[in-house]
Amino acid sequence: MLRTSKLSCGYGKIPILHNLDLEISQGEIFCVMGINGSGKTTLLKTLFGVLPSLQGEILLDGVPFGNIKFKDRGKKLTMLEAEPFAPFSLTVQELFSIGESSSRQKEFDFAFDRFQLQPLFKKDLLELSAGQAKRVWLAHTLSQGSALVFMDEPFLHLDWLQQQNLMETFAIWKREFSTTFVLALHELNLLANLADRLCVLSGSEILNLDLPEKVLTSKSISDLFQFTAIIDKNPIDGSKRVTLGQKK
Amino acid sequence: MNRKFLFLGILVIVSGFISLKSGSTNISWAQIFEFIFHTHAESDSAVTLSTIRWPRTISVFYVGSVLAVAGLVLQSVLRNPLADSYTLGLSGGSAVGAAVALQLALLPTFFWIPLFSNIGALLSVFAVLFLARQTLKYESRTLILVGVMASLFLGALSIFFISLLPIEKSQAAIGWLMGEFGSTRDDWAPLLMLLSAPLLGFMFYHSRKLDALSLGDVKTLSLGYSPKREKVTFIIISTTLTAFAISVSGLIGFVGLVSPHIVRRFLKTSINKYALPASFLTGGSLLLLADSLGRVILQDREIPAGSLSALIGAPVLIYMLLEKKNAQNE
Repeated sequence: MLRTSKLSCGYGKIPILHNLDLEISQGEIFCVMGINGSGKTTLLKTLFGVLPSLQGEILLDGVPFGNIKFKDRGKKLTMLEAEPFAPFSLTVQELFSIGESSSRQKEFDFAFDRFQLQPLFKKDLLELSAGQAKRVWLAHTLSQGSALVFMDEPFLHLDWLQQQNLMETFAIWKREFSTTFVLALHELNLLANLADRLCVLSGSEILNLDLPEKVLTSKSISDLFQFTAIIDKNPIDGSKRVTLGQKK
Repeated sequence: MNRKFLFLGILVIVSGFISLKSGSTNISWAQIFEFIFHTHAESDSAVTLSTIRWPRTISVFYVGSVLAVAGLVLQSVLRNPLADSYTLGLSGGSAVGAAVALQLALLPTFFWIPLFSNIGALLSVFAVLFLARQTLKYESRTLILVGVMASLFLGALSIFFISLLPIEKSQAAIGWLMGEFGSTRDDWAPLLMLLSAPLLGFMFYHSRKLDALSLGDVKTLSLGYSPKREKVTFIIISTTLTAFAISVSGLIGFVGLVSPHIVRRFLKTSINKYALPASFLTGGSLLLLADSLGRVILQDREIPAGSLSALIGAPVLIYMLLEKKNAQNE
């Protein structure tokens, strides 16, 4: 679906990431992790195309980005930033009216339902709590029905229930619409259970890129954070559990 | 929404009549209605109305409406509720351009002054945005600080150019800097209106793009528009509109800043399909009222509209700066 060769990205002339060769295939949940400042957001913005790449090429279904019309790009790709905001009063309903032309009915109904928008629909975005606003933006982004969705810290501001809800939502979109996700996030437990593949950024390059069970081992996590790590199963539901403690 | 637009329409008509009524010569309402419906075309009052009042009313409305639309567009594009032609240094640049045109004594003035003021405005707005781009987000209040500084600097520069002019010319040019109507430049308005109409039409037609831009680059691209191309297009168009307006009236601050805010609160929406035409009507009416006020406060002289609009607008800007609601943008 999306392929890069020798991609360097960053701001101005200073590259933050060097020589990335990535291949993201359709229907996978591709997660990016790394400490603060390791370039997760920069990578997402460059792959999405809102930030020009410094070097190298990005191919979407085999076609270089520059050769695709913005209109067609908008149909295929969408992105949600970590903390999106609307600078002026705007009701939730109006926000959806802005994206109307690119919104799809089935996706919209699903998203409206899953993120419980009914009680929020007539309210102003500025009046919502951070978590409520995040739900609205998530629904707005997912209702576009794009094949490739980038999200920077999608779980930010969400309570535990909403986090579980979002985990399920990703799975549903993947199953129903074979949506491809590229997500940047920090929470190790979410990463371990959500990612199809996991990419670790460190020192301006890819430190590791593989299946999550290969990337998230007690040794690799200990090396990355310099804290002792244990990976086992959650005794209640059997999901993967990452526990960190005691500085090495 | 229809009712709100009906209200704005009535506001425009009422402020238009107030504007026709205001001035040193006393003209009765009856005479104004006679003039409007062409019953007595020969009388003295009809001559005053057709040669002085009417062109002035038209040019004030034109300037106010265009500045308000440009303010709304700049606020949406930069996602900054404090953006306007004055706070981005654009009107200062436009003044320098016009002052240079005056200095060079290029003729005919109705061609060269709008052109030079347009060039000056474009140069200054892109200079401010370029300087700010390195270190700031466009959403930040610091952008406005850079813009206001540029405005002050360019204002000083235009005074410098104007002081090089012969005395009789510089007097007129200083009046222009203060933002005045009632000069022969009022007659430029119809021509500039004709030039502005397609630009305004373009913005109304593409108001959806403006909505997308107000959600930021990432959402603009997600909705299928090029953020850079759309931003540059809208900035150039709103700068051109502003420069046209400024070449008629001189520097009129704050109409562009305040009108969009009034409109958003009044309509209770910031969707540009509604906010654009409403700003057009509101800006025009506000400036008509400010200009009429300036003509009637003192009996023997006029207060320039630019001075009154700043007297009202500056405290509003300070209030908005202090308002905590937008603290997240810092």
